Amino acid sequence: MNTSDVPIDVGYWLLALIPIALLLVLLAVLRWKAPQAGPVGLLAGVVIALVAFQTPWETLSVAAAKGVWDAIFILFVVWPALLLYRVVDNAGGFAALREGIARYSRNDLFLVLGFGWVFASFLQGIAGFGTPIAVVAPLLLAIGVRPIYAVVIPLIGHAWANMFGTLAVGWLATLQVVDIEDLTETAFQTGILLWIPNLAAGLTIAWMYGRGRALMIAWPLILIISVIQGGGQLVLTLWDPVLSNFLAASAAMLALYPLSRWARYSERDEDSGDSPVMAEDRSEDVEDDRAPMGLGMALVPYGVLTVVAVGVLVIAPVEDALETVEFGLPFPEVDTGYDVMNQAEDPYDPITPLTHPGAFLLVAAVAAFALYRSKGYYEQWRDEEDDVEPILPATAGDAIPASVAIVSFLALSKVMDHSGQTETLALGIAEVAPPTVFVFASTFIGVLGAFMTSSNTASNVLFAPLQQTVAEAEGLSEATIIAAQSNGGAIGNSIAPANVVLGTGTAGIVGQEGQVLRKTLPWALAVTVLGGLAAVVLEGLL
Amino acid sequence: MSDDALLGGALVLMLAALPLVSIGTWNDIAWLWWAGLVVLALGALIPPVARYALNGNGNGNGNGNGNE
Repeated sequence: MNTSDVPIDVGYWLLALIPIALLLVLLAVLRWKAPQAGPVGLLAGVVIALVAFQTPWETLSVAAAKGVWDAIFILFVVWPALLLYRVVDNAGGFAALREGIARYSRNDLFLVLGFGWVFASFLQGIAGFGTPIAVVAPLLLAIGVRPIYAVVIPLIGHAWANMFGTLAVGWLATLQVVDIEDLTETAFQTGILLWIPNLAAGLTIAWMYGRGRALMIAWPLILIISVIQGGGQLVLTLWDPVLSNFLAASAAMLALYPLSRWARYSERDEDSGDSPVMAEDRSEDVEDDRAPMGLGMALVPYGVLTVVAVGVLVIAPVEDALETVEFGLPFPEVDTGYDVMNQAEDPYDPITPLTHPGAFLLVAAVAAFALYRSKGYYEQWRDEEDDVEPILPATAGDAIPASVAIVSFLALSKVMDHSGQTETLALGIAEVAPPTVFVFASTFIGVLGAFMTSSNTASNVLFAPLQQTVAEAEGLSEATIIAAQSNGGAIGNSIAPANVVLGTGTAGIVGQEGQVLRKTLPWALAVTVLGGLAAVVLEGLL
Repeated sequence: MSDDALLGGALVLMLAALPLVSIGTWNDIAWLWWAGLVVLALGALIPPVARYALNGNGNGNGNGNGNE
């Protein structure tokens, strides 16, 4: 973060808070749709930048355009993910999933935890940018989860995996912006703190499913999986942080098979009809047995997705070759009246499309389309179903509202950053907080960054330098503060508006972002408080 | 005009602003980046304006199936 002359006082702090507060009120209180609330938040950020933060028009235009560019990274997941969903759904694939999984396992609690927590975390291990939400939400719908919960559950379930997921892109980006003295200690403390949202995710999903009764059934599974995921990641940070999440999340996926053979999780949960998570009419759908394909065929696209993603990200020569395709746009140096400087970049944050998760999703969608078409599934399913909308118009209909919201959120994030509003918010907290309070608050700063940017990586790039500076000035442990920032960045992904919209788009409930936030916000707040307290304990102990 | 068409127009305008601002600011062509900024502002204004001006009822409903 730049050191500038931006004013740090209560008035400016409250002004800088307005765009975020407005966004939250519009979404969660007034229940506006995200594509409508996002632009209003953006316009508020622009007006405050112009009026209070001495931001020239050229700086505003560069900031907003950089935000649009940042959004393209997420849109390149949204559109292919929705395309994949339609390619599978229009061939009767989700009906096949519903029917096949019901035959394979009738324990809805196990399936909800398996897809919403374990599989979502695995996907975060191999592909980021919201891929777990975009892929898992339709899968949960297919097994009979209500649309709101189909979005809420992967949002909560994948959050912990953000920092070291996608081969530790968040960790590597953090190392680019701060010079960390003790890498092992920092990675290890980050692993300790990330175990909190990991365990809390499993417990919360079970609680949502069936309160205390579900917890009584699910607790052995939750403990085993959490030890593998959170504990495994923690131990692996000592060896190689880059592989820590991928290996731990993959091991948890493998552990699902023996767990599924345990009678506790293989037999039908007779009380699942009472679960607020499950739709009331799911059992009738399952009895129909109308799908043109079997479970294995329906899962082929997800197998292709996994193989392609793992192959590209783990086999270094393949990744290196694909990363030679790269492009971006240049932006000049811009500043404000308060000396908030942003250097010229040519190109700014270039994209490598062939190693982006969107490319993996596209490959899966194209492969699935070719396979299903060759088998004649589209014709068979059209004969079965009356209201099958063509793939491309249906994809666009779902993706456009989500895209407008995501572009607005990311443009707002950059306007706040380039105008100094973000700096005012973070420095304001740092200035008034005594050392212990700052340790506690550092997790909240991480959450704030992820909320604004929908990215653990971007949150750390934005705030890790500030956190490190304050840690040095206050004589606090650098490792603990960076770990707390990283934990906050991970937790914040569960409430980040762009992630929420990604889920509502793929679950077919665009416009209900407020209802999703009403469920993820309390979780994020509680886990952030726990993370903050744990950071205070770590600061005292280590 | 439908909500989807309006949002589609808004998205196209917002994306169109990107090259205009980049080329305009990088090459110091003021009218070009101003055009980009105006296009972006128009794109951002369409959804909230449509919520009140075109839907009439101010709640902007039209998407989502209401299921939880």
